[in-house]
Amino acid sequence: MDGELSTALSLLAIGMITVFIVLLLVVITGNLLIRVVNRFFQNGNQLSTAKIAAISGAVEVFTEGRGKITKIEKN
Amino acid sequence: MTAFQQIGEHPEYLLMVLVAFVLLYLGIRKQYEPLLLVPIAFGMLMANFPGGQMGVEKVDESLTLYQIAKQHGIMNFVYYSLIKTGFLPPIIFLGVGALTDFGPMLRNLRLAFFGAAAQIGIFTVLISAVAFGFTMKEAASLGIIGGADGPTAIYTTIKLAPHLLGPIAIAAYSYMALVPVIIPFVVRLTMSKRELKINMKYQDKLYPPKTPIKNIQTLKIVFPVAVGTVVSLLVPSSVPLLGMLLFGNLAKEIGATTGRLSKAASDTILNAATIFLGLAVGGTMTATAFLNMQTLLIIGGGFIAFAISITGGILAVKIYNLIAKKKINPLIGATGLSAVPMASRVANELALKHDPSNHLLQYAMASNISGVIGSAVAAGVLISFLG
Repeated sequence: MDGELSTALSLLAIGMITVFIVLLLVVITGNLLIRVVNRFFQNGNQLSTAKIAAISGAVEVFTEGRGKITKIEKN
Repeated sequence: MTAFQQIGEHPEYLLMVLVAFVLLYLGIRKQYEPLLLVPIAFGMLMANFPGGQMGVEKVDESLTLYQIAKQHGIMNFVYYSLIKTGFLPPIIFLGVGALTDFGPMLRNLRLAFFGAAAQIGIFTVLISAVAFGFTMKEAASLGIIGGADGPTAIYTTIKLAPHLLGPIAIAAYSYMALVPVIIPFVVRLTMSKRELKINMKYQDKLYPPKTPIKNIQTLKIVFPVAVGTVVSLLVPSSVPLLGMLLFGNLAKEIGATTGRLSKAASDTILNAATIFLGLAVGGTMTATAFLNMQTLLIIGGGFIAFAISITGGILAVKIYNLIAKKKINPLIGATGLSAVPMASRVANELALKHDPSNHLLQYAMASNISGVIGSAVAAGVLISFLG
């Protein structure tokens, strides 16, 4: 029993440290990715001006001038 | 020919049928995790119809699957091919991944730490269970209920103590369904009104994030690939669960080109896997396997594991608040256990009760999702040390 309890205690220490380290790495990786993506893929979500003009035109015609674009999302 | 004689000789069958009726009532009428509780309860019902051959039993594992099906019935075939092999829980994680949005976590990365603190219940209950006479493997399977993640609990139990699968699955899913009761109970005991009123959006205004995200779509695609690589190098035994979760998520985030894959994972595959998992887990709950002292201890221990995990998350936030300028509502720590998204919804409702402008769902989801990663890693640690 004593042996098992000490194994259980070591598992508590090892398990919690591992979970913390893994999530720390997830946080570090996430922050790193944010910087890399911000630097090299900044415009990934933005549509070209030609496409925005085409969408605006289509909305203008379809709603007979009453529609207003508030957000364009790329799927 | 009929089952009456066997029921007369073994009235415990009748007791199990009654337990199955209660679980069906809870699933159908009270809507406690009905997608899993209903198949589990019905599997349990079928397993306890004497002569029906739908109960999972110990079989000679050198038999082929065809021989198992022929000699022991189709439920044993399902159990030994899909459950005992550990196949279904990762498949469910695939579907869960296709339904998960890492966006809230990426926007609030520092909150991911509280997903780690909330795993403390797993390991503390492991120690107590050993003191109560459970073997190490059984204690680990009992403790993992504190991770509040059904598939993870099932996966760990299959690997470490398959004979406890029925009661552990029932305890895990019942307590997940009781999150709206357990979190407010622990919060009442551990948090002050002043802490409940900490407004996350106001804190964000006071201390805005240093690096705003400029392209979330690309980030969401790169993130599962990078995290999968990092975690698999550190805890390889968590890869079956986490790898599938991240793959399902990647398929979702890529968008239209892999839309069919993510739709299949989150719809057809997830639903089929849930049916077979539920029925087979229910099939393990025969009178001989379920009606014993261990089941009662598992039900009690599971609750304690849950409560300690929630408390661990809350305390971690309190400690953080002692040193940080930007305060965090300790409810965020309470959602560090998995149970996505119910834990976040409950935390949000609690915060709104004390301050109607305090919408903290997005923040709670950050630690809630990191809790899924945390519990899968904790399971990986237990399996690699004890498996």
